[in-house]
Amino acid sequence: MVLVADLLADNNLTANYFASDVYVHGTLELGLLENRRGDRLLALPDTLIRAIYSGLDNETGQASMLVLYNCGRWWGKNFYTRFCEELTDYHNRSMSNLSMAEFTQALQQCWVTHGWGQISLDKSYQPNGFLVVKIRASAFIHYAPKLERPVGFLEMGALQAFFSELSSQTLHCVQTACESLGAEENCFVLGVKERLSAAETGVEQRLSHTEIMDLLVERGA
Amino acid sequence: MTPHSLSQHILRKLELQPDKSYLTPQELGNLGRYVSSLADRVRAYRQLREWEVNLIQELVDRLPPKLKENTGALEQSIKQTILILRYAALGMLVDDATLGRRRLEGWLPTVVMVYQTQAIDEQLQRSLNQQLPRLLTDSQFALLKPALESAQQLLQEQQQAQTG
Repeated sequence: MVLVADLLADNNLTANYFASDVYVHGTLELGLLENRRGDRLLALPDTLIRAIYSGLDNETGQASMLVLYNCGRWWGKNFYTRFCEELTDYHNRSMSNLSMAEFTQALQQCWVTHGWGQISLDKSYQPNGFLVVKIRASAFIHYAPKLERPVGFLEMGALQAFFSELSSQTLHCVQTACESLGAEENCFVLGVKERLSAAETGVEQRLSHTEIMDLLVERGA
Repeated sequence: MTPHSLSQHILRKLELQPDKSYLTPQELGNLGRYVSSLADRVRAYRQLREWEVNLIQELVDRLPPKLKENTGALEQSIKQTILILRYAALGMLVDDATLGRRRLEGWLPTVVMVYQTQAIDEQLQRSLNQQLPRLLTDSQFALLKPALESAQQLLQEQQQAQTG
């Protein structure tokens, strides 16, 4: 027999932790933006994002892609830790007890609420050992300097670090489609490094995301 | 008024910009209607708050035994029902019918799918909708209904997504 009073006793009616109107708080008089557990958030003006890109380009030129990618890796690693910590505290159970669907939903909501765009996971290549992550409306890519190639270096690093932590194996990430090149969404493919070299060649040859994925599957078969 | 502000607490819907103008007659009209219904909203909210445990327990007790077999799904479905009712009650209190919908969107359909609560949800929501008009006055139920329906729709969307 299920007693409703018991279910309510431990106070754990958990729901959508990252829902935007409860996750972000602010004391505007003090100039503070915080998340729901009091960690400080910063609003990045688009001019600052642009300034970071042009500053990096002036100082480091070609290397700025690598710098951004490495920044992304730090971001992804720390983001993973914080993300898990917040979810575990909130749901009062370990991450391993969270279903993949709940985990994905939380990640999607978290991404949207922070203003990083809409993230989604495409698991159709999972049997082949690849995970495809798609991001729509990325601000980081929108303000990046246009190049003849995908420019989501920050996200590439972040996704690589995040999913490496999640899967406890060293993954590599290649961006195969980019909003800056007219694609509808940014596509990133994750997998072990040796098996992704074909993707890098594909990007250089300006192949489409689907063509690159076909190539990867073919090579793996 | 921006379209976004339509889904906000009544006081936030007002254009608080006295440097531009006074509130419009329409805004004042909405505010007046809200204020005159406020006592009723607070009474209904108090009652729901007080009755919650007993009301939900009654709904659970009436479930056909077959639906009680899967305890995990049952417990999750009960929590969802409580959340929907609480969000609806709060939405009614502050005159924000889509409050629950905005907070639960995305999340609710996911847990319904993960815990496979569709059948129990359907039964619990149906009896909830039958019980509430008996507990609240007509005017109170009319105030609660939009917020309740808007949150419950999320469960139906899940069903459509599954069958569609």
